[in-house]
Amino acid sequence: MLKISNLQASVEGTQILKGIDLVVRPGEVHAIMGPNGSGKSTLSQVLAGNEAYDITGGEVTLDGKSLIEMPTEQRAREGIFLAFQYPVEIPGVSNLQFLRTAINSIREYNGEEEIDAVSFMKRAKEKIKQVNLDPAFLKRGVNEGFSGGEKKRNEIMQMLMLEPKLAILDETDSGLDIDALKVVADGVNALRSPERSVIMVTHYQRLLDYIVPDYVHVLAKGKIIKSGGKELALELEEKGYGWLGIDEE
Amino acid sequence: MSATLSFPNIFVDASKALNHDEARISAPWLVAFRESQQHLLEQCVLPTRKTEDWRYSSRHLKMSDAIAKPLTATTESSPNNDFVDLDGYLVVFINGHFSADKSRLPQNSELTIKPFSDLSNEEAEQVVSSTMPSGESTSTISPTLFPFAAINSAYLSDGVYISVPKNIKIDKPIQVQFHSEGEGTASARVFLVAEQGAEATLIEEFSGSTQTELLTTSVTDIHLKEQSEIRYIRLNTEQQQISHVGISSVTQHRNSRFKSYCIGLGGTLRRHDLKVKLIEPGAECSLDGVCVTLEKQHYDNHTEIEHISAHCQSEESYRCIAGDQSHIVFNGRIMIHRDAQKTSGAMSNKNLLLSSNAEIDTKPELEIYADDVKCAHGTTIGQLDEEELYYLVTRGISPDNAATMLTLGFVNELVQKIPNDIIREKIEKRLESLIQSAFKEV
Repeated sequence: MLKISNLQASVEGTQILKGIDLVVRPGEVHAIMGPNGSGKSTLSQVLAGNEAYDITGGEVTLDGKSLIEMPTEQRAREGIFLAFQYPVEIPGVSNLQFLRTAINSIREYNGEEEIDAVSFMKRAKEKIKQVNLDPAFLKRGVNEGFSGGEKKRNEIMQMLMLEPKLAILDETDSGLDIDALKVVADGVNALRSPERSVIMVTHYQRLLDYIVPDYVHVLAKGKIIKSGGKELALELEEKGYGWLGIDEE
Repeated sequence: MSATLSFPNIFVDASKALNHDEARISAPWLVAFRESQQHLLEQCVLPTRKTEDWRYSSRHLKMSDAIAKPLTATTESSPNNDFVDLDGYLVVFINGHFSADKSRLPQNSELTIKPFSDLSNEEAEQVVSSTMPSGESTSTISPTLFPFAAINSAYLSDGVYISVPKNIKIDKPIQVQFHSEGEGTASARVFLVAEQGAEATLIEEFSGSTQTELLTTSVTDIHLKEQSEIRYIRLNTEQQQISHVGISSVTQHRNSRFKSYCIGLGGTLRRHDLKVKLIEPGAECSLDGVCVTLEKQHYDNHTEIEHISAHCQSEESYRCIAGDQSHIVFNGRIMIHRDAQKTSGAMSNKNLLLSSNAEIDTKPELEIYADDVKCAHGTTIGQLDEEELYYLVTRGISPDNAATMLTLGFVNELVQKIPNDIIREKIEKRLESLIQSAFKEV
């Protein structure tokens, strides 16, 4: 599904990613861990298509299609979803209008008809309950006045609505209490299927108790320095990053 | 060109011709009023860029013989596709003339809506004295203060008089439509008095088309007596070739409530002055405005809230969007007189520039002579937020669509406050297609 080879990226002239190699096959869940400043968020943003980052080398393909030159909106339509670490608030644009436009943009790209109003509402209400948010939020501005936890749950709600092929969770667990963490994990687990893949970027092992990954990678100074199974996360929890020769910041 | 082509002569001469036009028989009081205003117009001077109130707009004033011509008297018009019947009371003017056929006036006596031609002496006197008060009081629509009020009066063929009687609450909207087409100028005039405890919604719409030059002027004179409430929706959304200069003057008595929603789209020249006087304690006003310009359009909003009496409240929120090479002016003045203690005033003006060639000039003016008041103002000018755009695009929404959504979102809060569903939906659609067109060409 996703193939990253020797990916290098910089922001404002500073090299952040220094040659990443990663293969994510359909149905797999990968956790990317690492200390602050290791390039975890950069990797998420580069995959989603944030133009603030310059790709200086390497290749990324999704189902064989190169992402490097692909516009951000097309990546989303091809099935990439990024759950933001810090979702923005957009007053004046309602969640409903936003979701409907997003779904229809993706459907149009795939040659499908627009979703009808009734099935859309039904699905939106169902999904918002699934992430334990008040259905009244649907009518509010996107993330407007939401607490940190509510914003994260809203990201998961959007993910459930859009049903992406590849979901990238950028520190979705940070700042969540245990109940919200469970809601997020349930949402991700509900989406797991043999066709879908997930990349979880996280600082802590905690999330991995609820979403069990197939692979764990350690990212440090712009490179993946160790990969392993889920037991690697436990080892990190126990020993910290020090034993891998990384100074924790 | 010769001296006769100068202001105000071209308007004075052309408007005087009206007095002898057989096709335009007006009520005797109206003829007398018009003549008196024509004399006053002779003393008016055309605003220039040195006239502070007109510094950004005077250059858009185009004076020509063509534009000074009274529009052809007619009550027939080409179909107005933009028109939406609100199923309330309807008053239609075509080129300044009342169209009885197209209007729907009240059948019972709970409410008075009449063309100026049908006014009693007392009613006519109300209209005249409000424009030209005797003694020391002044009127904001006095021709000496606002020359376009003089042009409006000098060309006045007809107008509408609305009186909402004591303690009567009118649920149906009162929709007044001014349709103009052709070449020249036409006057739109509304006089409304809400008696004690009365409530009503007034909707003013300007529409029309022209292939050449057309100037419409409007004067709306609203009086709110004790405890009354008026909701005022003004749609200045006609075809962009039409120039429009209008003034809405509001006088509020004790505990009255005035809420306005002014929607303005750009044109060759668009100017709207909204002047509210809070003359007795407990009066409250809230003024909302949405203004959008594209291409080389121009829109100038001037608002003035005068706190004359103590214990009054005013709130104002205008949001403006300028794209392409267009220009928006917002001048918001709050004047708090010495006796207006315990005043509460809040003014906000937020502006969005869609292009680096667009211009928005905003100027809050606070003049405060009382010492126990709360008065806040805030103004911002910005562009679309890159982070917000990116967020929408990561969900598969095209950059054009994302920009349209954010731009509409910028004014959505104010649009949602418009207290008539049909009008609100009409405005939503209009804004959507307009904003979409702004981003399609990028």
